[in-house]
Amino acid sequence: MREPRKTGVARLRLAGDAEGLARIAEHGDDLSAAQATALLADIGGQYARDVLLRCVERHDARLRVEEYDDKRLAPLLEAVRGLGRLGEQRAVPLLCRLLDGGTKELRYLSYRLEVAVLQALVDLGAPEGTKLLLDRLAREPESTHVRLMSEVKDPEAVMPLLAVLWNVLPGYAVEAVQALGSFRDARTAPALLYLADSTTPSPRLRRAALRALTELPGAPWATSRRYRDVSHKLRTLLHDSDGETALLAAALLTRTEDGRQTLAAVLRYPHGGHGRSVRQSYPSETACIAVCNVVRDNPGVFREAGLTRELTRLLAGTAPRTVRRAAAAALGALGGKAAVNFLVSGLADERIADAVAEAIARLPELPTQRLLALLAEAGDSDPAERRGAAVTLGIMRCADAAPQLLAALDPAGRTSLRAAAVDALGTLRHGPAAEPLGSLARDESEPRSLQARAVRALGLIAAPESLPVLLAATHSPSEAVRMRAAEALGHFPVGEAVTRLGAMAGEESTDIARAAIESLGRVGHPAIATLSALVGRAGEWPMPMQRALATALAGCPGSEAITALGRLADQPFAEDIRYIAARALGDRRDRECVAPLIRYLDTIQYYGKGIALHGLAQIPTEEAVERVIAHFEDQLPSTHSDYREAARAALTVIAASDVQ
Amino acid sequence: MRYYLYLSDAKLDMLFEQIPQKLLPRLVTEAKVDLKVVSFSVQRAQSEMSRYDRLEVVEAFLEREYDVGWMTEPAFWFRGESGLRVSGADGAGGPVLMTGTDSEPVVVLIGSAHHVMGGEQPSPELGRVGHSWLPSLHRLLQNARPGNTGSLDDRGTLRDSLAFAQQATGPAMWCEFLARQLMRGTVTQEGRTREVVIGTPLYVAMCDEIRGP
Repeated sequence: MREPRKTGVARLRLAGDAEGLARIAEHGDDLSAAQATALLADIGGQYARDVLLRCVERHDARLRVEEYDDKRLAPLLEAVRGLGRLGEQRAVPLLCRLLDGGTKELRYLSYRLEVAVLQALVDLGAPEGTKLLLDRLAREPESTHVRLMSEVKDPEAVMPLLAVLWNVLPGYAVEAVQALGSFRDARTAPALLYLADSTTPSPRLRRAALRALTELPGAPWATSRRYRDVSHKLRTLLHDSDGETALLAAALLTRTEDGRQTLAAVLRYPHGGHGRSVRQSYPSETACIAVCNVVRDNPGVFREAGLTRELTRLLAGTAPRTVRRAAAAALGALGGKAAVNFLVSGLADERIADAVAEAIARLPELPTQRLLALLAEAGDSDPAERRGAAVTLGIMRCADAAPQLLAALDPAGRTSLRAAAVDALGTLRHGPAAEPLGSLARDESEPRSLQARAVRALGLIAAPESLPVLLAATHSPSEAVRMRAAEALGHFPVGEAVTRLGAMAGEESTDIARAAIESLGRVGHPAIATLSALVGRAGEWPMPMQRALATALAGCPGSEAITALGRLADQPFAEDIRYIAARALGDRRDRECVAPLIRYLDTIQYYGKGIALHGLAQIPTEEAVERVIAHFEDQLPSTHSDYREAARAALTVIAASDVQ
Repeated sequence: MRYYLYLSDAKLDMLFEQIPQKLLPRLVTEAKVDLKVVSFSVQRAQSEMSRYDRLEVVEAFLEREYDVGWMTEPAFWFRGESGLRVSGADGAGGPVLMTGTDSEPVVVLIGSAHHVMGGEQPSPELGRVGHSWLPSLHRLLQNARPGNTGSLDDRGTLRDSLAFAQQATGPAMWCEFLARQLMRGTVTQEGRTREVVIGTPLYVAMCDEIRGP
């Protein structure tokens, strides 16, 4: 095992010693010089910029006469990146020179240098960088070139990029479209519309092109004669069997009068313009849903379009439930007397009643009295309508409905109505309902599903007198009741509930056990000892339960929780779990977290190191700072740039604080 | 009337046989099954009722005993409706995957191909192998992954299920279903968070509102 490297550069960075870093950057060994150069750029200022420029000049001269290996190249790469980060415009000609082909053969290193230079030029907004990138895209494009192109902001690049597009599309079609879209430039519309064609073989490309079109300001295709078939094309895409494609096409059609007429026509003639009805097809239904969704999201645009009749027809018709639900939402968004009347009558249809209830609850003017009248028991009341009214009044949190909801619990009533009343009383958190709901939950002759709903409602109401009922429910033979009891006890931060939840964490059913752990997390402070004790058993648990435990402990304060999180951040837990625990430790900024974070840093693979370093950087202890310093200095240049940057960022956090 | 595309006889039998004797008459009434016998045993009912009658009874039992939810909410059993694409229904002894990506959440239903209506039955020598559980899905996804390497945790299963569902081709059909939940969670993909629910269906049927010309 090699000795840890100590270059001393991190301490200079924390002291703000630019001159010290410059000395190492110019005269130190390659690895120290690379680190010093990167840190000098972080300090910034005119002096640092001058040093970095000199560094690039010096290496440029040497590169033309000497062989370089990766270690030797490292300081130059850091200087190039640093100049880009600092926005140093004087660097542009120097950076371009590095790619002029006059250097000695660099073999595989030339690509690394090229990427660093191109990135810096893009960061600097230099037209030279755009030109070099376009040149690469015109020859043998790599994914990095396409990615960098999407960071270019210069509008002058749009037309040349369009010119080289055909060379990029075969290898990087979606990425190229994303790069084109990043300009948000109307001139890209023709190409994007062409690539969005329904005959484009890749659905992903089609979606990317449509998404880029939706990000353009306005509708550049609305006026020009050359776009005369756009409406037709978008109409075809509206009938794509991919729902997202259809929705994007609908969003684009919303932007023009012509397009809005197309959308209205879809609702008017969902199966085409022919005179007779034909069997529905999946694309037709998808198109209807997409149109309903854009109407729901842009009611102001469609209010004058007179779509209420079309939507009511769709809602009442024979379309699949998903379409009818979308129509209900659109109708609710449009509002108006006719829409309200139709929605209220739609409550009688149990297949769509819940969606209708949500649409009614979002209306600007709520038909509360009508709903209360519907809910009221009367000889001619439709039980389905009463149920729909109960659901709606619950979503509306209408306290005036409580007496009628209580009456609807009558065992003589239909189970579906009683279930809706139970749910609504829970949502209303209606205290006086605790007693009848408790009786219902205890009554073994009641359907288990109703018992389970009563238990959930009791949890929401959280009346102290309901605790014995809920504790008893945790012993029910029904999984559904036990599950809801585990959830409900999370609203009772008392010892008895905590003890029982701790026992339920050992249930065979993962769903119940997870619900119990999540409830312990909701209880918080009184449950810390129980949660901590569970860590010892968690090693063999399935991942969802381990994740629930880590998340629950992350929300608990105090030393005991830190100790437990420290254990979860250790082996043998999986990296996902360790990551959640380490992030929670770091977020606390507590001295007690230093030791577990250091242990985590020392034993985790690369992807978790950043979170540990960030956490340590925020804790004001010498040990934490020393560990960040040691980690930074011990890195090799071959370390992935993401991890190098995480270590540098941690030093920046310390430098900006009073910790040092 | 439902037009079934998939009906798991294995689940149907397993659940029906567990229904408590004393509940059966009430469930038969609730399910509006036309059976002239008032007092009967599970075995007798098993033999006298059609599979669709038994399904009605089992549904009534699940509705009564479980908090059957809609696919958007966590529950042991859930109903749902989505445009489903079917993959892998060709091999009689293999799994079948029905996926719906246009709905929220994304639905992934795993079952056995021999339960697809009108589907080929495996030869008697091979016997029937059930696929209505996560290990089958796990194997299917691993086989579908390029390179077929590495292990999958539960989050990987959700992510790979989503990717599999998004790559499914062929026509989608609007279907309604009742399924046992196996797994549920969220996957972040290209900056968009999508909820995915994995289940194994008791039945899948075409939406009954759809009528012919």
